[in-house]
Amino acid sequence: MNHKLFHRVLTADLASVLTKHDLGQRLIEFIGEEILEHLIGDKLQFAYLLLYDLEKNLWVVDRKGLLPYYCPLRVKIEYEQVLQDWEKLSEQMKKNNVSLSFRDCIFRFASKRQPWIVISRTPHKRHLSLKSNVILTVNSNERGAKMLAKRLGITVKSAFKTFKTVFKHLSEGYFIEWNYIYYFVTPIIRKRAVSGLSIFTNKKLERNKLIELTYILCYIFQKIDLYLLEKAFMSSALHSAVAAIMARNMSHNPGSHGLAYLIAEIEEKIRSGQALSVEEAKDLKNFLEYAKARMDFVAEVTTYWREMPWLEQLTL
Amino acid sequence: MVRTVNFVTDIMLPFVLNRKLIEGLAISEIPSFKVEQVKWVLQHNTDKVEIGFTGNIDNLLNTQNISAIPLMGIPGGFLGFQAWYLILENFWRNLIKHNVKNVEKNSMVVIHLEIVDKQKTPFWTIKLWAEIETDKRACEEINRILKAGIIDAEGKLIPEGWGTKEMLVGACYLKGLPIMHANERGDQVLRCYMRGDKYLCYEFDVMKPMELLIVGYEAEEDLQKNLRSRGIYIMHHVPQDFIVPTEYLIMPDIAHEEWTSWNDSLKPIKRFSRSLDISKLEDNNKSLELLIQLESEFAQSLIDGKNTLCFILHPANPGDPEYRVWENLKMDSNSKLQLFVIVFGIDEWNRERLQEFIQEKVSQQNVCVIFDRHGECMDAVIKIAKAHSDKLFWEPYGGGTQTSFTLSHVPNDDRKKLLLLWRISNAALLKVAILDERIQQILSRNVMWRYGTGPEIPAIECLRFMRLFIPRTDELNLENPDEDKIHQWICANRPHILSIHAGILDKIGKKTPDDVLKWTSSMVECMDSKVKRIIIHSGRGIPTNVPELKVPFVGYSAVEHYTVSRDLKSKYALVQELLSARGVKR
Repeated sequence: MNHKLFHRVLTADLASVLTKHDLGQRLIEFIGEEILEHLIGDKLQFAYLLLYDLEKNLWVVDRKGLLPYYCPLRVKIEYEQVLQDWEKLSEQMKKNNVSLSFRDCIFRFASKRQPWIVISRTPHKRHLSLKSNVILTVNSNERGAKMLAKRLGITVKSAFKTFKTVFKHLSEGYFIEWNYIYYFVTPIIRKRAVSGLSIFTNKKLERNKLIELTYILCYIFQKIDLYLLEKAFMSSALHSAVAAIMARNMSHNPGSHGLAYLIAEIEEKIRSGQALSVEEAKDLKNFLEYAKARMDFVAEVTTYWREMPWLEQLTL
Repeated sequence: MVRTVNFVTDIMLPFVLNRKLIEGLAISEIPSFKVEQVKWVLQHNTDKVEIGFTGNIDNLLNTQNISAIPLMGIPGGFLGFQAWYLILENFWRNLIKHNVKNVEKNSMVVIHLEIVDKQKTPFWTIKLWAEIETDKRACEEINRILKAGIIDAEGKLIPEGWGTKEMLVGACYLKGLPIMHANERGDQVLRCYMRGDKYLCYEFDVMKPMELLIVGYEAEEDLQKNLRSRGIYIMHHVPQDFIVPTEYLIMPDIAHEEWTSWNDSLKPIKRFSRSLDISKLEDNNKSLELLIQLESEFAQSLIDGKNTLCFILHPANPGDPEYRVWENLKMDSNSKLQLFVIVFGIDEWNRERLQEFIQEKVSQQNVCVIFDRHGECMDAVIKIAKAHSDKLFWEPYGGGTQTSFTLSHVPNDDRKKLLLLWRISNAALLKVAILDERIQQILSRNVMWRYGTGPEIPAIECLRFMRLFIPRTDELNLENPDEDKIHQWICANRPHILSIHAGILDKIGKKTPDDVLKWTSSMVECMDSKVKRIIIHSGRGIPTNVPELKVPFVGYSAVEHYTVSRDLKSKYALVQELLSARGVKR
């Protein structure tokens, strides 16, 4: 066991990374520099961070739609190269009429999940003698695509098409010299996975290293998972609370104060056999219009909160 | 996303005149309370506008300098007004509830609402207080509630200070802040303090109008700040799925892939491609001129560049406020927009001469936009429309109506006035179709509109002259909608903007976002080629069949409000609302 590394991870101030605005980039840098470089060393070629923001219902990406990534200095890959590759893949997906992303297939639609999926460029038999409930190894070819969909229990028909397209893309002139992609997914117990890594290496990882990596990544990603979940939970709790406040005040202000007196007035008119005057009818109309728009507003706010956080950030 | 509104006429007036609400909220503490006992003093710099309940709105407004109160940007448009009312309603309720004796002592309750420029930012700061002495312990308690937030660490609602919390939600919404801010920094979003040790004062920020976003450019931070404070934003890149809140968008190359992959529903209809010298925009006049050019360009695209736009304003007499504000506006003789302010009896104008004038203009391939107080020109318009309906827009109006407010309370600055004139003209030119069974039913009950001493006109016909198409039930029954008939009707009317009720889509089997997206893609094919936008509206929040970030959405109340009522109908207000609609996320 690499005690030094375990200690470093244990004492790392993850909380401060998690609350930062550019969470994705900071996190992958931490994982890349502090963990992957130490455990994988020269075999490491590249890594993407996969993070699903449950609160916003979005994958964490940068302003150009690119996943946060880590690239060791020695590999010398420029941002533009990564972006170009990303765009190339998008084009191929469009051309093949594939709408579901690789990560969506694995994170959303897999009914069976294990922490590691290893995509191997060369044919293999078994990977590192780890049990198949920990690791699933497939080849980056059509057969591998079929196997991946089957073994993960994905029933979405288009998943095979997605895997096939992505594997083809990875195998033909990819921007990194890779032989293995270690695809880490967490958590495996919940229906929807939210965080993970895809680590590109030029060589197979040693068994012990992979076990250490599994422990460390499980520890980190469980923290992240909890953070993302709590964020989503608090956001939805707040939305519910706001809806409760507005519903309660709607009942209290326009309801028991406004409407109650109005109903009493109308009842008095009925009792005395009098019609509403034009002015009274106008007042009634104004009030009802107000109440109607309020109801519409409450309905909208409970389904959609219009926000422009960038506006305030510009003025800080 | 953000709609520019007249704070006095669009937001304050409906609240101030809401007798049943104001009195209802006070009666349980002060049974004899009357709405006439409240005076609202709106202030910007040294200018003040005083409004209170009155039977004659025109008299009230005409004695005040409404234009001195600045315009505001409201997220969510018409429905977003309610965020203001969350604040005003609870402020009023708490004022009465906690200060009964002090309120009773005063024969008149004076409430102040001061609008202060938050320098070099896109916000106004609002200060709201009443001239009613309040114990400072109330202020301490409110601050405690605001600091505590809305939910606790376990996500449970903290059950106290409901009114204060709702005010906080309103303030958060009006500044476009994420809802989390209401919980985490409530006392910064809504500030509460004692004013002169006597009065409880609330302070919060609201948006200034959001005019123009320029993407693909860079500028010095100082210049950017300066421009933002005037509603002009510059961004070199836009984040993924960025929702443009402004009315106009300029991109250096509209066809570039970076911009085409950005869904159109997230951008305004008024988008342009041009190169700019950003530094010139520092001059306020230059930036106004740019917006005028954009409006002019948009109008040219709608009416075909060769034609001229004749804006004919026909007040009933020279005493009407719209006559006073537009009569002296100097127009460039080379402008593609010509303004004619015509009152019968002045300069030998009469009904026959005006009819000949319009006839001559449309025969020369000009497009006439006619705003007609009391609808006195109706017969002439009907006659001319027989041959030239595509070259006419006619909107009758009366005093105290939404349209008379739009035309009467305008900026003092000539450039701003001209920009408004272009905006009204473009709103007039846009052909809007509304497919909603409720609106159809309301208007199909032989609703007739009459303004002042003018003639009666069937509402649905009147709206048609305003280029606002609502099918009659015999044309297209929306209660039992048929997909093919809807398609035929849209092809026959070829609108620029179509707003359809989510419930109709449901009924014709478009139950998933994908179904709806396919439907909208096929439907835009038969819309007018110059501008095409399909909007979904609903009164139940965002329904599940609305495709996220792909089709603009607007609340039902907004569409209905500016369409079915004689006094509230307004093509300009409706179009502004529809133009501000964007793709949404559930």
